[in-house]
Amino acid sequence: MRRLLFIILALLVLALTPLSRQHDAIGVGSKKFTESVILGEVMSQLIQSTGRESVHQRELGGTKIVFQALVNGEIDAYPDYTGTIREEILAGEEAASLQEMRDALGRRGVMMSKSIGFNNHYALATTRKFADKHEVRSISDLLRVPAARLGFSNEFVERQRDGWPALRRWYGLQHRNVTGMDHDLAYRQLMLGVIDVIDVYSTDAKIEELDLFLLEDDRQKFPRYDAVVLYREALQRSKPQVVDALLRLEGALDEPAMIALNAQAERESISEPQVAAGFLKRQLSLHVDVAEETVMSRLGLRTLEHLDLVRRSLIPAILLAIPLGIWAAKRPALGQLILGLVGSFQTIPSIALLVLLMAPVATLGFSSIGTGSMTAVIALLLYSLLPIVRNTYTGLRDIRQPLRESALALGLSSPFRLLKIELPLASPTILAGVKTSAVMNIGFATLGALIGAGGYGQPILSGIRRNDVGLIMEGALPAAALALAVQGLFELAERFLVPKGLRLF
Amino acid sequence: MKDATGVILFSRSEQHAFEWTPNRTHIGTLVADLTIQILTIVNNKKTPSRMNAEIAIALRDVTLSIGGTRIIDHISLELQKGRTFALVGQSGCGKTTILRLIMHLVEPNSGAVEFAGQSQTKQEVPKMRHRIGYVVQDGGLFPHLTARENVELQSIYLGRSAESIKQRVGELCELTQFPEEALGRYPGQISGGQRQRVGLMRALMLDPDVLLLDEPLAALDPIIRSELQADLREIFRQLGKTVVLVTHDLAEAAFVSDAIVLMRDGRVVQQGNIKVLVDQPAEPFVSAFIGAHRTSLHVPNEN
Repeated sequence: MRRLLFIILALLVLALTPLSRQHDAIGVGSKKFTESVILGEVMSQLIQSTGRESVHQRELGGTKIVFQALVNGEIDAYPDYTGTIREEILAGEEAASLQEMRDALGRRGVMMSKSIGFNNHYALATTRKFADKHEVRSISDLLRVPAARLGFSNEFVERQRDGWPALRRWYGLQHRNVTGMDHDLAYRQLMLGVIDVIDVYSTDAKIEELDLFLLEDDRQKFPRYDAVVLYREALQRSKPQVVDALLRLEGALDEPAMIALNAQAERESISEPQVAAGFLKRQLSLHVDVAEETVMSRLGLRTLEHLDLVRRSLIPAILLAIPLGIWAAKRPALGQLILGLVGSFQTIPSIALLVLLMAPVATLGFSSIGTGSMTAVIALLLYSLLPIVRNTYTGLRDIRQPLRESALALGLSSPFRLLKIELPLASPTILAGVKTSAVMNIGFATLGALIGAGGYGQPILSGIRRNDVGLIMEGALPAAALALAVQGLFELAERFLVPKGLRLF
Repeated sequence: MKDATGVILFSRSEQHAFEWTPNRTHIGTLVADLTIQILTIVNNKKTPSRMNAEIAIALRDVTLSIGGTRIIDHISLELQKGRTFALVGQSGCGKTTILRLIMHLVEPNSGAVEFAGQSQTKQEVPKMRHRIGYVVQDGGLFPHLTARENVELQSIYLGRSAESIKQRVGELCELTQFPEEALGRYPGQISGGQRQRVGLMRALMLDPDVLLLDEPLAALDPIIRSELQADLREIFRQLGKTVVLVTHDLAEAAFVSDAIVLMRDGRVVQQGNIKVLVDQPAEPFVSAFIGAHRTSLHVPNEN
C-alpha cells in the first residue's frame, strides 16, 4: 500500500514538474511555410536586439491558429499578409481599405504595421517555352489558348474570392482542362510538360530556380498580399521600444530580397535563424549572434521537447486509465460505456482532435499552441488511454475463476482483494498495456508538431514540406529509437512491478 | 489400518493380483468388492450415534438455474456438526455448486442456505467465510504469493499479531506435514501434492468450524493421492470439524467420510454411509454408480 502511494506520488511529480520557461519572454509566431518562418525569425532577432528575451514559436500552424494565438496573448507578434487578413481573418466584414482593416483588427486588440515592402500575391506561372510558343504574356492572353492545361493547388481551386473561380469569372476564361493537385507536385508536372499553367506565390524561390514566366494580372484580379507585422495592442502599451524595433521592418524587404532569402533557406539549406541574421546584418546593420545549430544540439533540444510531451501526457494517462479500467471491470454495463468512449477518441483524426481541443484549452487559460502546448498534451493523453484501460479491464476480467473465488471465499474485502490479489495478478497485462501506450504515445507525439508543439515531429513536418528525406529522418529515426528505448525501460520495470511468482514460467 | 483401506489396495493391487486371483478376469472387481467390504467394516466401527447432533450447514429446498439450465433441483440437505461428508456423483451433477452455495459465491433462485442455523445476510457473509475454510479444485493458491504469504493472507487481513500467525503456521505445517523450509516457495515451484497441503493450511488458518474441499486430490498421481487420502482422514479425525468433500471417486469418499451424499442431475439421490448405499440403494442409479467403480482395474487373463 505504502509502495503504491509512493509510486503514484513519484509519477505525479514527474508529470507535473514544470520545465523552466522564460515567462516574460516576448513570443513571436510563424506559420508553416519557409517565408513565414524566416520573417518570424527576423522579428524575433529584432526584439532581441533591444536587449529583451524573445521566443520564436515557429511553424505553429495555419492562419486561423496563429491569429487566435495572437488574440489570446500566447504570442505577441507574427508576420501575415494583407490579402490573407482581408479574406481569411476578416472574412465577411468587408474591410476593403487598409484603414477599415486596422479598425477591424483593433477591435480584436491587434495592430498592423505598414508593408514590410513586398507583395507575395498569387500569380499564374508557365514555362518560358510555353509563353514564347503561344505568345502569352498576361492572363488575358490565355483566352487565346483555350486548350492550355491548367494545374492548380487544391486550395487555389477552392478559394472563391481570390482563387480560380473568381479568376475565371473575371477574365471570362473558358478552360475545361483544370486539375487540382498538390502544390509541390504541380511544379514537377509543369516541368515535365504534363500541364502548362500553375498557380504560384510570387516570392516563391522556385520561380527563379525553375526560370518560370509569371503571367501579368493585367486586369488586377489578384488582391495584394503585402507582408505586414501583426502585433498586440498590449505590446504597444507595455513595451513600445519592442514595437519600434519590429517596425524597422517596414519597407525593409522588397520582393527580390525576399525571393533570395527564401532561396537561401530552401535551396541552400541554410537554417532560418542564419538567413534572418544575414539579412539583418546586411539591411539594418544589426549584429545578432545566432548560436551555430549543430545536428546534435537540434537533436538534444527536440528530444527534451519530445520527452516533455510524452511525460506530461503518458503519466496522467496511466493514472487515469488504470482506475478507469478497474471501474470498467467491476461494472460490466458501465465498462462497455467506458471502453466505447475511450475507444472513440482513437477514431478522431489527430488534426481534428487538436483543433477541437484548442478552443477549450485556450479558454481554460493554458497555452493552446506552441512548444509543449497543453492541446498536444491532452490530445496525446486521450490517445494513450485505450490500451491501458483495455488491458486493465482484460487483465482483471481474465483472472481465473478459482483464484477469484478463492479470494472471495477467504472473506477479504473488495479493496483488499483488488490491491493484494487482483491487481498483482493482472499486472503483467496492465504493464503490457502501458508499454503499448508509451510506444504509441511517442509516435503520436510527432503529430504535436501540427500545432507547433515541438519535438521530433517538427523536422518530419518541415521535411515533408521541403521534400527533404534527410530532414524527415532527423525526426523519424530518433522517434523510433526513443520508442525502442522506452520499450526496453518497461521491460526492466517489469522486473520489479510484476510479482516474482508470476515470472516463473 | 492403512492396509485395510481400499485406496491402498488399489495402488498396490498390481503386485498382488496374480497371486490372489488366478481365475478371475476382472481382478479389479474383486479388489473393489473387498474394498467396499473393508470400508463398510471401518465405517461401522467409527460411527457413534449422532442422531441429535447440531446442524452445521443446511440447504432448504434450494433451486438454482444458470442461463436456463437447472443446476440444483430442489435440494434439501442437513450436514451435522463434526462429521465428514462426501458429495459424490458424476461430473456436472452439481457437487461443486453445493460448495459455492454454502460459501454464498452463488445465490439460489429459491430456497435458503443456512450456516449454524441462520440464513446469512450480505453483511454477514464475509464473517461467515472466516468460519469456513474452502479449498477449490486445484488449490486456488495465488501464484504471485509464496506458500507462506498464501497461508497468512487472511490473518494479515484481519490484523492478527505476527507472533500468533507464526505459531499457527508452525502448527499447520506439522498437521499437514508440509516442510516449513518450503514455505518461501511460490506455488509454481512446489509439487501438486504440496500445493494441496498449502491450500489446506490456508483454509485452516483461522481454525474454521467447517472445511469445504473440492476434489482436493483429483489432479494427483495415485501414490501421492493415496498418501494424501490417508493424511486427510487423519487430519479430519484430529480436527473434529465439519468437513464437506467433493469427489467423483466413491472409494475415496467411503474412505475419508462418515456419510456419502450421492448426487445426480442436481438432485440428492441418496444419503448415508457406504453400507446403506450398497445394501439399500434408493434407486437403480445408486447400484449402477457403485457398479461402475468395480471395473476400474482390468488385467487380461494370460491363460
